[in-house]
Amino acid sequence: MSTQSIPAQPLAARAPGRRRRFGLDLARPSRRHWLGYLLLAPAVLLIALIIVYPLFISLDLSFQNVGIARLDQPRRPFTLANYERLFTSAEFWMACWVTFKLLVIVTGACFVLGLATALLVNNRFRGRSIARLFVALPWAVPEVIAVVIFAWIFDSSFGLMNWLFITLGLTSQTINWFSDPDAAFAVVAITMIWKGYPFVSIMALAGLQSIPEDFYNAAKVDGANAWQRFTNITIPTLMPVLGVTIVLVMLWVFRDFSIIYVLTGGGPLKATQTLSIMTYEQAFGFFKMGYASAVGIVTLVLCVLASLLMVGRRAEAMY
Amino acid sequence: MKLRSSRIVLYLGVAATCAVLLFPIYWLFVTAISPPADLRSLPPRFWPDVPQWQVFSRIAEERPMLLWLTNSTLAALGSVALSMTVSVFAGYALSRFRVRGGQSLGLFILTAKMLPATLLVIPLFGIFRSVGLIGSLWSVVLAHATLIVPFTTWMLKGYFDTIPRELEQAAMVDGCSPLGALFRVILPVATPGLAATALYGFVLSWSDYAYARTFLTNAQQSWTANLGITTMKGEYVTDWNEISAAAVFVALPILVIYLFLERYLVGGLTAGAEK
Amino acid sequence: MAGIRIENVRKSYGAVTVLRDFNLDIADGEFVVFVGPSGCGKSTMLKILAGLEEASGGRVLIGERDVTDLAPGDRDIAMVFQNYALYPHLTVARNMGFGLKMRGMDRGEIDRRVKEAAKILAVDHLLDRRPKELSGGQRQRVALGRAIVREPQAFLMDEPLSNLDAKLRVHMRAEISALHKRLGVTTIYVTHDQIEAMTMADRIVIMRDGEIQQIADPDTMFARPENLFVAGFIGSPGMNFLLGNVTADERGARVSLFGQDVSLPVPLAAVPGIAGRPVILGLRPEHIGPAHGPVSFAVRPRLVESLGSEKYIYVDLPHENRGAPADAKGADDERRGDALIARLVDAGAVATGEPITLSFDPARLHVFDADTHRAIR
Repeated sequence: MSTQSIPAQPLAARAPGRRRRFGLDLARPSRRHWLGYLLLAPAVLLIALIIVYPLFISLDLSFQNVGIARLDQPRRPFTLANYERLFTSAEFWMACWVTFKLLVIVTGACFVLGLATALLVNNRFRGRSIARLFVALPWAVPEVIAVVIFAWIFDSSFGLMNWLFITLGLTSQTINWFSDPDAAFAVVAITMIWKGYPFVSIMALAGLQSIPEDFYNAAKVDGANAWQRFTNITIPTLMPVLGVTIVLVMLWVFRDFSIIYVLTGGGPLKATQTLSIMTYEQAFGFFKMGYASAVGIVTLVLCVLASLLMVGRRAEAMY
Repeated sequence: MKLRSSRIVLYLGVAATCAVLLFPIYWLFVTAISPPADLRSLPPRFWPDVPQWQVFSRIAEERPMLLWLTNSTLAALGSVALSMTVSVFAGYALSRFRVRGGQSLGLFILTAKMLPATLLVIPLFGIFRSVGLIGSLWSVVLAHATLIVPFTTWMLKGYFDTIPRELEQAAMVDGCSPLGALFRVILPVATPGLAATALYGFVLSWSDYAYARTFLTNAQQSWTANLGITTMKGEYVTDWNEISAAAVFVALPILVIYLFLERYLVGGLTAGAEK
Repeated sequence: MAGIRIENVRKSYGAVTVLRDFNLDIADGEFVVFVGPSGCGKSTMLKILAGLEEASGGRVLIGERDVTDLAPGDRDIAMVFQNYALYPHLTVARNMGFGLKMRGMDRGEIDRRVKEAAKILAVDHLLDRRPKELSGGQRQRVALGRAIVREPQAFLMDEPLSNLDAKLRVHMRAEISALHKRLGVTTIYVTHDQIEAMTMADRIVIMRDGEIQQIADPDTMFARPENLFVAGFIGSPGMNFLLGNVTADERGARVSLFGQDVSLPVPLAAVPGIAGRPVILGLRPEHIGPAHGPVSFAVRPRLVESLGSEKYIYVDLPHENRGAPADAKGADDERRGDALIARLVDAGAVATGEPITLSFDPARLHVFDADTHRAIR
């Protein structure tokens, strides 16, 4: 078995420069699986350092009465106060309600708009590759930039939307979008929908393109009309991709910070404060990091539960 | 005849849809090049009489626009380099080796995508504060890696899965070590996938606001573009043309990447989901 | 060049054993084919030989050198893969020269060897192309070229022809054989196609479920299969299997086939106590004749297939002869256990449903134990 037992061979002369590998020769069949561990090591290290360890810290923080997190100070005593306070606070339940509303409205609208645009540009026409590109263009606009755009469009004095509403006779005086709770919620929802639907179109288009033309031809031969082809072929074949996409959009709404925070900061009267915004506000607005961690942990648990509920045992398929 | 008219309806439909959906982007651009007076008058003008092109050079000179863009670029390059280095190896290992615990690691990386940034930002703030990284670009480089690594690892695993194992087996029979096979054969073959993955990571980092806002707010010389822009949005008065011009600067790189390399980006985006 | 010795090689993944005690001595310059249905362990054995998989036990020696735990690149072997595994980012010339470059050979010598190999394989006009610009047959040649420039101790080929269309496959089969004759390098060739095995091999190793069934040259494999599986696997159409109960009298062992009393070509002494027990009788389709012979029987064909030069006659088996086990059937044979195929050359007009007399020579019968499935001789 050992390399030493290899007798000198004429082969050595025949195959010049047969390289001796230095150190541990990972090419040997018996050692090759070591390489797997070796290759995973840097990722494991990095993830442990910047994800796992911080996660433990925040879990730990959520059981302490901590203002500003400092690692160089002794641990505060264990307490459930953060969670008790959380579940009895009206603000938390309000944030849950806002998150839920946003989740339903934004996800639903993104789904409809995304699927519709995908179907539209999936038709055969000249310039459709350009149209496909354009239809999903908002995907490439950074969230903060989207906020700039919509903050201006919904500006209370010279915004385009006020002008449009007045011109159309929907309202007689300018609406102050960001001081009315319902209006502010609407602006947030619209911005998120505009930013979120292209992802659905991109995924749906990819799904549509993977449906073989023969399916449709076979259905045509069988006498199916356009609507029947849509409901019997397109939707069922797209469903797996769409299911995954919906979950991903949901998770995005659940966790999104930039759009809401920059647009409204969670206001007015916390009408747009989702769990994510609440977490951040408690941590960096009021410097109650223990309490904020508790909110964050609950958010995470809800995220995981929601996605598990949506995809069930096919959880792995969503990635 | 019926075909012709349905064709026209289709074209009109596509044109109208694109017009409505892309109008905000157009409006951003128009706002940037409109004279401030135009923006304070109703009805709005949909194209300025005298486009103010100089707004771009003006904000580049009067505001630290270039610094912000440089910072964003550095943060993105740094976090992408870091993430790609670890995820190329990890993705390859997950694709090829049956390593004990590999599967659970893979699953953990998947779930890491679900982590709310607002949760992770709290302990990271504590950690960075104690090691003195707050205010340094390194803080966002590391924080952005938490966003990027889960994506890139799985995207790369997906790409490696599409490359037949026989390629590196052939390379090993030809005399390569396993790492040699990875570098001489697999990585060159996976170049499009690597590029797509790196681009995607770049977009993720470039678009971040939460981490930059938390770690860099008190260090103006480290502001990234997204953070800088939000400071231009005033409490009472905002120079909409200037902030729009700045926004154009920030959005442009990603829009260009998207328009010219869409195939790669979208390939990465949908790679995992279609399986 | 060198011989190869495989000693007690085993392979298992956890509780699943894919390869049991594998022993084989391959002479220098021999062309050995591993054949068997998919999942029989033939590819695993080849990968262990190449060093691409680790054996769970046993030893592999190439030219007296123990290579069991040597890196693939240190074994001085070359391999041809089913999907060719050409490096897509390299030109044909650099594909072929890659292994030499890895061994640090100087550029001029690599060039010379690549050109020479390319000429042998008639791909010298393609040297600057990339693999994706080549046809399937050309890729196959380049893959072979990449193996031969190395001038290795042995070639390992893993189903190299199965991605080619039928016509090209026949052509390349002959070409690989010719190449082997010309170079004389020890070759181990894995396939699931018994025709490839029969036409190319010096010796065939038939495998099933991780176990060697028989090792023999093609003619022996055809004429003297060791067991039911080998008998059914080799030959096309596959061997017919009939069930019969043995009776013994002073003239020897006898059995009733198609209502005829047939004497078995086995001495009664070969299997004591065989009388009264069922045996499986194998009869190759080509050993059935169209006229009267030692054992004749009249039948009405269920189906007649004409291939022009020959005819396949499908005949219902009498009930008493039905019921040979399902696993005895060959790899590409979909027959149920109730029919017999006769392969007749120059048989004249034969029509479905019209009476015809067929015959066979009992000496041609293969006798298998109904329980162990082993040949009785």
